Amino acid sequence: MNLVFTVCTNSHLAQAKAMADSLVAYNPAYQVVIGLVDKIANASESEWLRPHTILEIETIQIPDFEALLGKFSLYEMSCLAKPYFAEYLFKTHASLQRLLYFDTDMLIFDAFDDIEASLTQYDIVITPHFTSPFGDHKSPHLRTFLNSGIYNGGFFALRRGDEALRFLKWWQDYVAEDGYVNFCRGMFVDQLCLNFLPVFFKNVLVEHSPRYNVAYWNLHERSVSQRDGNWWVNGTHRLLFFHFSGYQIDAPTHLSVHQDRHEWKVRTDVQPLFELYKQALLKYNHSERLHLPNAYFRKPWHRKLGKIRGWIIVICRKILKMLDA
Amino acid sequence: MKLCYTVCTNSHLAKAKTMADSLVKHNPDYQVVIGLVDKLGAVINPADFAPHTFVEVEKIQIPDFEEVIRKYTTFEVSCVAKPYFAQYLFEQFSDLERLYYFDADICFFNKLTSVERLLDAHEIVISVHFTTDLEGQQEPNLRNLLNAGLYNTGFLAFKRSVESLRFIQWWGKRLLTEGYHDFAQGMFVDQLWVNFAPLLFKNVLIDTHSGHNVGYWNFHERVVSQKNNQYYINNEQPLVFFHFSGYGPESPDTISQYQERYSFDTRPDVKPIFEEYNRLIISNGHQNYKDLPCAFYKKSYSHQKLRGLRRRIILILRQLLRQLEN
Repeated sequence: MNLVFTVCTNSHLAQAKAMADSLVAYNPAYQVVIGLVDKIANASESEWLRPHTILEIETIQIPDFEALLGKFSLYEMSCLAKPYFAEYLFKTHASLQRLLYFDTDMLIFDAFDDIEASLTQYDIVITPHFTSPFGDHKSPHLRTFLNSGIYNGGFFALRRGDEALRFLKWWQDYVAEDGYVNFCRGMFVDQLCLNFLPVFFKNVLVEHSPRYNVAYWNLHERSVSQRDGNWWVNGTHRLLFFHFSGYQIDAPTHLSVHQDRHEWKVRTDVQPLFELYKQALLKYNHSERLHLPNAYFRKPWHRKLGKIRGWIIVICRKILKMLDA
Repeated sequence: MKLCYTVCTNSHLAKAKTMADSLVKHNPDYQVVIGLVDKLGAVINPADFAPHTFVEVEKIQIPDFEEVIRKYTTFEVSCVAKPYFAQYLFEQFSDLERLYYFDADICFFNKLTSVERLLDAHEIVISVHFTTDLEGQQEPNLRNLLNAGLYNTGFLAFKRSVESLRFIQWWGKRLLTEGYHDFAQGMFVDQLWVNFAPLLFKNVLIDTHSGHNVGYWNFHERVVSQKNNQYYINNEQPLVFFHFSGYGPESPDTISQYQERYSFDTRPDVKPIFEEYNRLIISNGHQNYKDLPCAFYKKSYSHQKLRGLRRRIILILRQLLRQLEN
């Protein structure tokens, strides 16, 4: 059996469904499980998501779940849930040989033949953010990835075996302690510690192919084009999956809110992809869903500040500009 | 010709001499160049260090050197200078095929044969801190290494090639503007950048030899023993070089000021090595060198203190912004 999972909250189910739909369209033999850091709001949601299925976080019984909820933010919690969902899926599906993870903010554009081939040789597959340096001082810096991680936590593939399970255990232990966002203290959710993966574990493939995980952090080395109804990277490789990290449907002027290197004006090659993604999200009412509350986390204090919040942001930005940060 | 180099200030010259002496003792065909982030001036007599030779940092023409010493601390400058000395040495010695870098606080106990072999099939060699999980929150912990770098730049090896020069130049260029000791901004001098080396450059070997670069960071996977007057690691590999990072005769009972996991009581296996090293650096005059001020040191580093305050304000504001924008 072939299984893929993702992790999100009710507020991001439109993205999850868009990702899963595109995945199954090219890979009909795969089933997608949506790991939900939330509780199912009503039964019709499950109906709507079909053929994809929901797995609530309560079901997988993370040790000390209450304590984790107390110390991590919703974002951190969604990240650190990955290795727990993965272990649970291996445990509950005895025939599961391969398990793939994709972030919800992706679209898949091809069959997984390459990933499957890699997993005949390797136990773990991860992707680096990029494979060539860039030199300018726009955001993100090259060194931002020294803080946030060389490899992207948005995708990994595992082959059932001792090494993959050893990795999942290690990853769980790590994020349960250090799964915070805190660059100064060497922490960035589940992602930064992946730096250790090729050092600590055997049979890890760092997949350099430009087909994988195309996103703003590697657009300096990858361009996208359309040919014969398919998407291509650098004119030579069929696009496998695109990661729309930081794209916000209510901030359509930005390719990603996490960067200022690439603009639509210059990167007309990727614009049709984002348009496609936008349509997929609109179809599933992403904008309305985004405001759904979470069963475990209430809105943070500053969301209740109203207008003052906006002023504080502006003032903070002004001081930062003065300090030349 | 066979060449190694190190980089230090006058204050670390007893350590540099200890490193260089021990290297040449076991490898008489090697020369050691001491890259000096300082001035010899009237204080240092180069003859005291023969056969080792000096290259003063002003000679190697680091771009905007005035600006570099203005904005960086002495420690940062010493780290920034590392790739520039490498480039200088490759340029100076046209017949130099292989170049090794060792920190001044390293000591050799054996031939370099296993080190030389690393470059046979690779062009750049970097040294991993450790290869097995390090449990617990005591320092050093995994987080510390995620801040400071997976690889230890106390040891590096380069084979003259297009790729290694490309790496040295890329590294040097980044360090000119981003060589601070500032974890929050993704910087830790020269070392953190090397995380990218295996990803962005070809023919990079990650050295995991257990007898190389033994330091407190890999004590959890390496035990020292003695046999026939030789040190061995895990009873299998001869100890080639040991890295006494954070150790000094000022507090001879502390394994390293940067760690809190081990003491000589819990790790009696490493004690004889430290005692031997302690004797060596004292006999090389550590007491006379250790307090020498760096010629580039600014009496008032107040601008750096201000910079620290500025950074702190920036950090707090950024954190607030992150929360607000969440």
